[in-house]
Amino acid sequence: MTTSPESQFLQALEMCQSLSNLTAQFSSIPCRVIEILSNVSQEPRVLYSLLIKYSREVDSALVALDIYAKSADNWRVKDRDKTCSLGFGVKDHCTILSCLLNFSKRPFSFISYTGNFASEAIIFELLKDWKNLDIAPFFEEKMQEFILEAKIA
Amino acid sequence: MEGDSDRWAHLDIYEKKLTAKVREDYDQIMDNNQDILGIAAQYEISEIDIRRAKDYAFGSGVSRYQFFPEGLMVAAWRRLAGAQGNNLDRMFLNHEIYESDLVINRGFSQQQAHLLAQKQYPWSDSIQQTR
Repeated sequence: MTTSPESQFLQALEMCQSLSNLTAQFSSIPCRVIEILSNVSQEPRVLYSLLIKYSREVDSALVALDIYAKSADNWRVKDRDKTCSLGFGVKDHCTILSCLLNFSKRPFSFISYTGNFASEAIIFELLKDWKNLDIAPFFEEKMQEFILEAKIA
Repeated sequence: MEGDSDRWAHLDIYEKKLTAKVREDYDQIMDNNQDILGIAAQYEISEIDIRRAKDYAFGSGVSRYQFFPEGLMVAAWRRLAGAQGNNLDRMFLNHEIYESDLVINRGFSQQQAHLLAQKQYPWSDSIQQTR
């Protein structure tokens, strides 16, 4: 049975919410949420519109993510939990999620919880290498629209 | 203590590609033998505590407890080693000293120790509030 991008997206937000009960504990949930959002983002436009449609729920998920990320050590997840195929530490995973969940926000910003990912371009590059997920062109297109609108206003 | 680059052999290609700089920083910190005495003198903390905390956070503890390198930790340690540490860096140092003591000397699990250290010295929380 396949699930729609929308239900996958909502499941991802719920999983982020559950992190607030796991402060200072190891978790593979951020990694699994990245997997889900990567599936949803195969068409970046879909992720973008879902982020706007559920902006309140997204903000709430970002709060839970932030509480968790600030409490955790940067434990490496891959090899320790076989459900996670992405390397890096759990706080790095939270950084990637902060980037993806803020994808539609303007002005755009995200939190780097470890200092390891200094820009969104590095995260997009990783997602392209790892999942063949090319979201940078769509992101750039939307940024240009935002800049143009800001100039007109 | 570990300081050689073989300790990164378990990382995958993406990790190696994107973390070359921070891994090099970790190795440089472990290769530097001058910092422990300086930090111990500056903060009037025992050399043994500093040495243990450094090895725990940047040396053998990295592979033993599966920590992934963090650029923010490198920056904090370098300020401490250069006698430029601020209050947050001191909190980071206290966190690592306390956590490593609980794990190495008192038999706590790493996760339990982190939880306790986080309550007393919430460095990773506090540092984000200043960024």
